[in-house]
Amino acid sequence: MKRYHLGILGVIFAGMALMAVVSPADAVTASGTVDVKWHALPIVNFTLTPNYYSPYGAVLATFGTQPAPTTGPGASPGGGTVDFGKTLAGDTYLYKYAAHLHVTTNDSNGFTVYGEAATLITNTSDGSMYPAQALYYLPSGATSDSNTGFTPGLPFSPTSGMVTGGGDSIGSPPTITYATYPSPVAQTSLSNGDFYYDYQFKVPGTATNGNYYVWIVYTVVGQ
Amino acid sequence: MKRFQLLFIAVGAVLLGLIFAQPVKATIQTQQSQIAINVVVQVVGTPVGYVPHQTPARGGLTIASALRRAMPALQREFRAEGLHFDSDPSTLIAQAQVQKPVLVQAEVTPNPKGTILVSNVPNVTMTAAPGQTVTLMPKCSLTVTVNMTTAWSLEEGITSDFAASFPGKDLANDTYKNSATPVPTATPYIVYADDGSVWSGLGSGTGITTYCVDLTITVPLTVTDGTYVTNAVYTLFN
Repeated sequence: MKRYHLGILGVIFAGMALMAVVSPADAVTASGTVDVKWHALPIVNFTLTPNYYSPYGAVLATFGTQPAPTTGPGASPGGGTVDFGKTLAGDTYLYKYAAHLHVTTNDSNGFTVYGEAATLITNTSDGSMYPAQALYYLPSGATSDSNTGFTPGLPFSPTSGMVTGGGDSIGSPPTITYATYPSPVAQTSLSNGDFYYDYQFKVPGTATNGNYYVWIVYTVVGQ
Repeated sequence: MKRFQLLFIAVGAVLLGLIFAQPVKATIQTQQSQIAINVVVQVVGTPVGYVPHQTPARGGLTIASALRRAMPALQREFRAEGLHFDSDPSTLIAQAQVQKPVLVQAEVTPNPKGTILVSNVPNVTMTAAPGQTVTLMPKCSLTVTVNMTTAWSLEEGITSDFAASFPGKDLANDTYKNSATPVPTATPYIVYADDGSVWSGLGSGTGITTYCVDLTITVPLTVTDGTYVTNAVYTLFN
């Protein structure tokens, strides 16, 4: 019996000794470094002001003396829509002081501006659609420019991004999700910038009667 | 005195003769339509560049392909971050961005004259390097059509130079009826802003006619990379 008890005690002591040897006694006292990395996204503030200066509105393309701008009911000073109002198929119109983009960022590399059409130019009356490239943009100024309907502009491209939302009313704006950004409409290495644009609408000669709309979506990205 | 009167009468007769000898159409021509075709020239110093508006195939996107497609700024971003891409391709771009939309509207009314002078496209883009001459391809990819069956005449020109260092006359056109053979040489456009605010005559006819317009651009060596644009204007008279 004594031998049996001694045997048990021997096993217990041997086990305790083994645990003492293999236990990580230094874990509670060790020190080390953890390499934590993160990327702080730049802050970008961006305001878009349609009809930013009066007299804003549409002017029929013509050489020489320019007519006074006119608008449709959707346009309002510093807001609303860029509403060309009544237009004739086959004619070209300049819309003066259409959009002002004001951008500030803390990105030391500046920022890039993208602008694309979220939809085709769509006739709400019969559903017919026309290429977004009937709509153009051209640089303007804060309070003046010498643009006419024949001043060269650059076409808005239809987006290849994924469009969510977007209807024919100002209350249903779309968003574009990009997998790849398109060609920029503007780029700067500065931390803030103002961009002023006139628009041009080359109404397709075959355009049918009706009310048309297209959403232009500007995206500003820190560089 | 009689000699002087005779001389006066003779000079008057000559002047009258000159007036009546002028082309009749010059006095009765009326502008019927005028269209402008946007001509964009992308000047790039190297033939390698990213292609805008390319959508990566869903499910087949790799980091390498994203880097190839991304703009240089994004390429730096991806290299620095070693980004982990989610399976959802919409989350690929880890950049701060802000979006704002603007709605553009118009009320369009059909125009009886809206289709008497049309181009097949409103905009053409050509890409060339400084010092290079490039012709818009394929041939006859730009057309201008007159849809009139009464007597008409057509004039052409471009509105302005591409830039101060990039004259509009560097844009030339080989214009021919689509049933005819292209002319072997291209002629520089007249530039409305530089050449006395006039257009040059292209042709006349009495029937529906389509012209092929093959554009050729020669980019001066001094022009830097960028996007340059002008308008080719066609004016129809009857």
